[in-house]
Amino acid sequence: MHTVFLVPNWFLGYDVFLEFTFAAITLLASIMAFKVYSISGQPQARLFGAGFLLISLSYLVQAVLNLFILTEINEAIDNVIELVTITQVNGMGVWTHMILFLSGLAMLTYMTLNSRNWRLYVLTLALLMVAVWLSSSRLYAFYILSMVLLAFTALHYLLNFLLHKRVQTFIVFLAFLLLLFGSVHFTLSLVHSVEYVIGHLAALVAYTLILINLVMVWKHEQEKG
Amino acid sequence: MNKKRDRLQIIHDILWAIREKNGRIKPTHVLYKSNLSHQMLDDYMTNLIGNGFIIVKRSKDGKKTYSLTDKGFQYLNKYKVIVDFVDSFGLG
Repeated sequence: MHTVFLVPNWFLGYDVFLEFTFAAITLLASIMAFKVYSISGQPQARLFGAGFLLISLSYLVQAVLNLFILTEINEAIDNVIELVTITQVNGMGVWTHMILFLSGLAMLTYMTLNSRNWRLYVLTLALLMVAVWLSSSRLYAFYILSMVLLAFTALHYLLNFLLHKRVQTFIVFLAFLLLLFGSVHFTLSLVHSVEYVIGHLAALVAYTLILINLVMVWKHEQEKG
Repeated sequence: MNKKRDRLQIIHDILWAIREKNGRIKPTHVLYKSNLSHQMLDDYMTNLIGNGFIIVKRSKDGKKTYSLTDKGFQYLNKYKVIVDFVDSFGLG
C-alpha cells in the first residue's frame, strides 16, 4: 500500500499517463532492437531488445495497477473487504513491476558486459531477487538496486560517448544519466512524496531523449529507403 | 572504432564484394576483396551461411560460388541504420 499514499494527490492520474508513455517508448526501442537483430544477427541487439521489453512490461503493469487503484479506491473506501482486495492486488502488482524492472535492467547491464555466458545473468538476477525479498524494506531495496544497475549502465554509455563522440551517443548517455537521477528521487520518494513527481519528470525527459534517438535512426532508414 | 563495429564492417565488406559480382562470387575473390586471413574468412563465411546471409552454390564442374540471400541484400540496404543503432545504443 506504501506507494498509494506516497503520490501527491494532484499528481494522481498524471503518473498513470506517464507510465503508459514510458511503456510505449520502451516497447518501441525494444521492437527496433529486435528488428536490428533480425537483420544483423547482432547478439547485443537481442539483449537490448529483451531488456527494454521487460522494462516496458514493468511500466505497463505499474500503469494498469495505478489505474486500477485510482478507479477502485474511491468506490471501496467504505468497504473493508474491497480495500483488503485492493491491497492484495497492489502487493502482487508492485512485486510484478519490481521483478520485471530489475530483470530488464539486469539484462541491459549484462548486455554492457559483452558476455556470452548466460549464467552470469541468471546469477545477477537471483542475487537481486534474494536481496529484495530478504530486505526489511523491499521498495527501498528495489530502488537502491535499480540505482546501482543504472549507474553501471550510465557508465557504459559515458564510455560509449567517449568512444564515439556524436550527438546521438551523447543523447543516449544523457538519457541513462537522467534515469539514474530519477531513480535517486524515486528512492527519496519514500520520505517525500514530491520526489515521486521529480522521479517521473526525470524519467519523462530521459525516455523522450531515447525516443528522439530512435526517430533519428528511423529517419536515417527513411533516407536510405 | 570498436570491435563490434569492425565485425559489422567486415560482414558488410564481404556481402558488398558478393553484390559487386552480381550476387555471385568465387571463394578466392572473397578472400581477395575482404582482406582477411584464410582462417578468419572461413569463420565469417561459416557464420554468414549459418545466419542465412549467403548460400553456397556448386556449378556443374563442381566449382563453389557464394550468392547473397534476401537477408544478405537486406543487411546491405540497412547497414547504415544498423551501425547507427548499434553505435548510439552502445551495442558494440
